[in-house]
Amino acid sequence: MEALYHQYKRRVYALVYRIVGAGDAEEVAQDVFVRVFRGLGAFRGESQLGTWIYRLSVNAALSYVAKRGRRAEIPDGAEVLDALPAPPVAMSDPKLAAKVEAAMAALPAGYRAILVLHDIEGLSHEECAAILDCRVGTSKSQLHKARAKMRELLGPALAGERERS
Amino acid sequence: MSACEHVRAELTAYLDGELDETSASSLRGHLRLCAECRAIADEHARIVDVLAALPPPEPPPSMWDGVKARLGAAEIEDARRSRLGLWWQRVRPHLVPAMGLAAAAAVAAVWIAHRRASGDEPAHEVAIGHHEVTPPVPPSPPVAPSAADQIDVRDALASDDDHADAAYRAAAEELIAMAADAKGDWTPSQQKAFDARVAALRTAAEHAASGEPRERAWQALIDYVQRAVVGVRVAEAL
Repeated sequence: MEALYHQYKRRVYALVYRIVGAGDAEEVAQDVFVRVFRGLGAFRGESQLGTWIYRLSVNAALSYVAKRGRRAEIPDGAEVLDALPAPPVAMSDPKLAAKVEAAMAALPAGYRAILVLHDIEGLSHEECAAILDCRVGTSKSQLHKARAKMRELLGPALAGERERS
Repeated sequence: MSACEHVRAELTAYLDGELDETSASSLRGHLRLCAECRAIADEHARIVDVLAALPPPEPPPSMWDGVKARLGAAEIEDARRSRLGLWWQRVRPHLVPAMGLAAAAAVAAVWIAHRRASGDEPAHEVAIGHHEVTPPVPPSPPVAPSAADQIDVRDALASDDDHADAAYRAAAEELIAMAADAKGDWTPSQQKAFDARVAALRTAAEHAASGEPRERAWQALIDYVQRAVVGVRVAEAL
């Protein structure tokens, strides 16, 4: 049980963290692992174990956000950045990561989920669709809308970044 | 759809390498000619790069302890639920027939009273009074006694009330005994309030008029202890 936890703790925590915010991530991630361990007996292997755990994570995070219901409780980018280690890739605007986190926090939770799964975790649309229980086409269109919304929110910051690079 | 709109709709697929070579080449050609679409494409690409470069958050070391604590709490809750479930399965067969017998006896009493009032059946007390002031009437032809006449309804009612009362009392006392386990997690003031409320409800049940008022009083006590011990969720589950 503990081995399974250590195998998936970073992926579960990172996924939940991006959807619910830093303040509530630990609580929701713990809830995910409780569901995983209590549901392992019923897991029938119809999907990959990782996909199943991702699905539990996304569902728990989205349910939590829906119950919380108040966007104001989602931390802004600066708070998120404080809790993160230094970016491995240098950005010409050191505040860009915080701005990106802030923009993500302003997105609808569903858009955050697809951005995290596809653009941050690097999953394919087939995997995203299996996790989000939707069609591949829906996954693609949701990602397109999420990126467009990010661009809308980040517009000036991205323009400055482009000029510096 | 204009060429620009078409290109912007395809940007995500293009950046993710999902366009075939002909479509991708056409899109690149448009970007060479259209500065506005090129700027948008650059921003999309930058968003993808930045998201991929975001540092992964490190789970706090305390998280595993929290998982273990939650698992333990969930298993304790399971034990309480299953114990209550077993209790309810054992008690329900006794409570439901007792309530049913009491209800059936009450219906029989109403039916007999109605027959007496409408003159279908001789009412002994009334008939005795009539014999004293009216001339004797010819005897009625003998009729087979009805099932209802073969029992003393008041005795039956009292007997069924006793059964229901005993079943409710036993159920309530058993549940109160189970509450002793849960009380260990409560504050002293919560325990005191619980004990006081249970005592008041028990007194009310024991002094309530027999029959339906007493059943309601026992049910109030059982409902209270259920809610206090296992919460509304389990009470609903039962």
